[in-house]
Amino acid sequence: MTTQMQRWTSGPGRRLRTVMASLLAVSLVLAACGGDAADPETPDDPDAADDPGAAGDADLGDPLVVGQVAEPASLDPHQVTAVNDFRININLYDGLVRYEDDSLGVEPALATDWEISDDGLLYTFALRDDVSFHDGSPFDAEAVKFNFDRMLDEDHPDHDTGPFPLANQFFGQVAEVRAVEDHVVEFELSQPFAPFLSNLAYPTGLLISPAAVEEHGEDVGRNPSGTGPYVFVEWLGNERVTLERNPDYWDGPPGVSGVVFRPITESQTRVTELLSGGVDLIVEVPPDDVAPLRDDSDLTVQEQAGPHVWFLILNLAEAPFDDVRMRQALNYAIDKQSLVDDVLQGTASVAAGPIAEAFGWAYNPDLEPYPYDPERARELIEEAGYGDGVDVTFFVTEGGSGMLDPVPMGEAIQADLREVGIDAAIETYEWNSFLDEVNAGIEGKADMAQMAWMTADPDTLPYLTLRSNAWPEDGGFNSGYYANPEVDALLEAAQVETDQDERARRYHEMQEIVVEDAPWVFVASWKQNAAMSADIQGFEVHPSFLLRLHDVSRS
Amino acid sequence: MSAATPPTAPAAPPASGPGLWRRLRRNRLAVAGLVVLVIVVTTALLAPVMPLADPAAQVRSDRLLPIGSEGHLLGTDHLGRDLLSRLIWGARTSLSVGVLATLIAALIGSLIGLVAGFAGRRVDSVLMRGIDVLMAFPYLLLAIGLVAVLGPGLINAMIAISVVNIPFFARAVRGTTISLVSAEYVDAARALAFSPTRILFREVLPNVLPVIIVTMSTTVGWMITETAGLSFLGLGAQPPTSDWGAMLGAGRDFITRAPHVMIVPGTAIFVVVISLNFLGDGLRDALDPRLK
Amino acid sequence: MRVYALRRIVQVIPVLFGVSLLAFGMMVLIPGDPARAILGSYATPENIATLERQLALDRPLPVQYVTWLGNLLTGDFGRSYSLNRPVLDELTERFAATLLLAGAALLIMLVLGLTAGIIAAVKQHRWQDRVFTVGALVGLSVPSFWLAMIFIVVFSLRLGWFPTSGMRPAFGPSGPMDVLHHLVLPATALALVASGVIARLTRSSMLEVLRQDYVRTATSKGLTRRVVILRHAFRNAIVTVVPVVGVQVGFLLGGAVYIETVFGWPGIGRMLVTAIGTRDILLVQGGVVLVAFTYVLLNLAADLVQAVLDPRIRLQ
Repeated sequence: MTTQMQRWTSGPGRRLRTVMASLLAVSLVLAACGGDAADPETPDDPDAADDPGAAGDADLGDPLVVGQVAEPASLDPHQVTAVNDFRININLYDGLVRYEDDSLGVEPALATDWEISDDGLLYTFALRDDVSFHDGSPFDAEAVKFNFDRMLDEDHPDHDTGPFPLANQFFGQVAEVRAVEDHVVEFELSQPFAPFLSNLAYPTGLLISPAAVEEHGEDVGRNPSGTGPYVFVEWLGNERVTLERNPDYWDGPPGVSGVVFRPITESQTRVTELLSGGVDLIVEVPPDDVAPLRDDSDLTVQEQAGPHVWFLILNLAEAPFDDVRMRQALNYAIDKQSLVDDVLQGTASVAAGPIAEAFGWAYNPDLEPYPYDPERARELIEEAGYGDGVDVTFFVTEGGSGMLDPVPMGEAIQADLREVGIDAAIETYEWNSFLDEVNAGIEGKADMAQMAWMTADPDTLPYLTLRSNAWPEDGGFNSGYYANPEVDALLEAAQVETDQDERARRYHEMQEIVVEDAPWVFVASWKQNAAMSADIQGFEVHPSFLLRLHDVSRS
Repeated sequence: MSAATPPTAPAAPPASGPGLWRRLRRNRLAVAGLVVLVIVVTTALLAPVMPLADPAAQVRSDRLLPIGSEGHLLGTDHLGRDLLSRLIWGARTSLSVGVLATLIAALIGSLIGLVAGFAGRRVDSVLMRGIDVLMAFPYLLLAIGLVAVLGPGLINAMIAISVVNIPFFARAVRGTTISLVSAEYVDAARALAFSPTRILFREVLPNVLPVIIVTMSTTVGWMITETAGLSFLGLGAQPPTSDWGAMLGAGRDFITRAPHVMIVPGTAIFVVVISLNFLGDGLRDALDPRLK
Repeated sequence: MRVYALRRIVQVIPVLFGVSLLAFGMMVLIPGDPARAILGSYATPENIATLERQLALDRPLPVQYVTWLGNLLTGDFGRSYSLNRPVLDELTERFAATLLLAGAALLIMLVLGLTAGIIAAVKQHRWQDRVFTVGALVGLSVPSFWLAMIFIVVFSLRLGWFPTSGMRPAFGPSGPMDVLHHLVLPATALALVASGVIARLTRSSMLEVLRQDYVRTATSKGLTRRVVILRHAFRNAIVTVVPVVGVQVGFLLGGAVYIETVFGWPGIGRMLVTAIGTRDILLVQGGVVLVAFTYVLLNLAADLVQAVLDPRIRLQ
């Protein structure tokens, strides 16, 4: 490594300071030492950053350093399930389609356009013919077919390079993929499935190089090759994943020399690293740091409401929440505005119903959230016959994807309920135990449980959690046993409806019924946020919670 | 730290009664520790009758108030709860859990040590290999795993901490027991054909007791710290019950903006643990003056 | 000596076996399974069944354990399902980081602990004794996870002397000095408690030895005090200290979890806590066995060193 040699010979002064600082602390001698001691995070040596970007990009400066929330599990788009991994993959790969810039609508990516047959069973995509994977192999219809067959066909020779946890969830309706011409590919579905296109835009639909899969087998997740704006350079376990810009990107090369993703699991540490210049951009800024970071003139903070709903599942199978008045009372009793303003410091907005506002067309704009009205809550509780107070059990998780400070949220809700005579005993569970308990149904165990979902399509959440055919014993996530035939009919019809306006009408109607029935307490929708140095240009937080860095540059 | 356990616990001549107290009183640090502990324990016991805010009452708009705020001597936490009140109520939880965990570990560990040291041979090897397994297993992971198996709650955290600390009692007690088993009066008891149980509990146990007490007094501080540690990692009391570890864990999210939320409970743990250690030292010296 | 060493080594085998069995049992008993953990919100029974087939988790438990044990004996630790890579690769990377942290802490512990202990014993009842005795107690009374946060607030955020997290700079090549710079705060925070223990123990065993006849004899022979203390007294005092150092290593390795969490150090402790969370059985088993093996090995070494120093132990 020549760069290391240069570093060693070029920085004796800094090394000395480092040694001194180290010695000082070891001996715990608090000598006066200027606060300007070495800041190791900003390379003072321009050569240090010469690997990403290759020759000719020197003017693009240092790569962008992103503070991630965790070490990625894999960079194989079909193996991963976490947003944290999606945030890297979306920069390495493309799918047939992608989300529009500021919405969850779908636009062409590697497919230039497509046709859907009238019965909703056949999707035909015309592909770009000027694209290669980073490893040099061509992108064509056969490559697309390979990607889906590998995931879905148990007899495919590369099926054992998995597992592919989400394949069935997102593409289970795909019966066959056919390479009709070099650059035309056809998907045949076993039944009409309206979310199919937006599922293709989901990160599980990103396309990997078949040649790379064949070469690396199950280790392809550490040797990824896509068609995206950035090319994989190296992955140093638990330290960083480095990407360099793809100068031949079909949608124009990126404006920075590369991107470095650092896993920093502690949210406070991400903030301190941003403040000390160790990273350029962080996601999931803790609520209490948003305001101070926004006030810092060296930084900018962005927020964007996402397709996320945070709610309380209520147990409709048992008293007291088998009574709709009690469920409505709960919705009145909890001060949601204070939860999002005080506990979450404005990093979320109040949710009115089961579909997040970020879904736009599917969201019913006429819905009003239940107002905070403890008086009304007490009346309803009195009517329901629980005026003397009632004890309930409340499942709370200690963390988990999209759960937004669940313990403080749980404690705040507990305090609000106490005001109206409901004594909620909290039981906390670590996330995976929590899912195990809650997904199996909460009857006999709890009366209410926290839950949150982030989805790609408005269909997913209500379809899996509100239908009477989605009770836990039927393999769904309706863990509170809600059942309303009208809601069932609307959801079934919406899923096979290919006309968006028709679908929207059904969702709007469904939301009105569900809000009235109140099988949940509708609480909040999370705003995706990011904080970055002020010199970063062209970055927009996307409602999908992904991190698209194609257009980023430094001023 | 439990490893402060005397490694080869000396079979001290048991000292007790007024002699012990006189010797203890001469140790100024031990007395200071005792005084602090008495104050802390009394305050904790009196919590229900003191003019304190409700530890669970939230004024969410008054969150993260600094130390010395009006009406909140030690400020408020992230949900606008009074930190002083939570600290005092939390003392009840944290201290009783730490002490109980010590008692459980001492009881089970001493029993294992006594039996192993007294029975010898195969029983001894089997029991001690079991203890070796517990020692070799990374202790915090064992505790975390146990809590995951048993389910949430402070009681289960306490059980986990007890189990993890059994080896220290077992080892110390076994060592002393072995040295006693060959002692003359035990031989005499054997000659009189006393039952093994009677020899173990009537003859051996009283002589091992000082070792158990010394080990307990040096371990209890560590146990309180470790229970707080588990709580810090999110495996402790169920809200809204306050305990010091959970308060510390919650404060970690605010170290840049409101470090007092983390400093207050941390200082409390530190003060109690160091007082216990001062007292434990004094007790050990009083029981075994040779080490002074 | 050889018989003693051999006997101790044979004892290690059932201990490691017990540790692996305990780890497996623990992971099996924890509610929630790996497939559910991977699928998260999408854990439908159908998705779970498919995934368990792909992960070979649908076989009976004893078969899973025996297969794992058999593979382990051939050096195959299996594949982590949460990380999609061989367990051994992950363990090696993570363990190297923890060893560096614990090793540095061990060094600090020995230097601080032995120095403080010897000085306190030699200057018994004088102010040096008081300072070091109280200092040792302060050290072993501070909760390490709290101290770590205080260090960050003071030395990283206020003074800016040290980085707040990680092990290396974000990008570009990094040399040993960069790592050392990242190492100072976590290693010191980790070492302080153990230093207190060692200091106290060193002090009391030194005091005991200094009272012995042969030390008086050595002094009366006219040897200088320095020689008596370091050559004779310390050599004998260390016999009781050595095995405790072995035990302390266990605490450094175990307590590293807190320090790794607060400082974002990429070590094995934090990784194992995460792995328990994701129900990554193979990763937890492999990691626990590796840490236990290291601990047992170091204790064996400590015992053997003690046996070399003190022949009486061999004869027991």
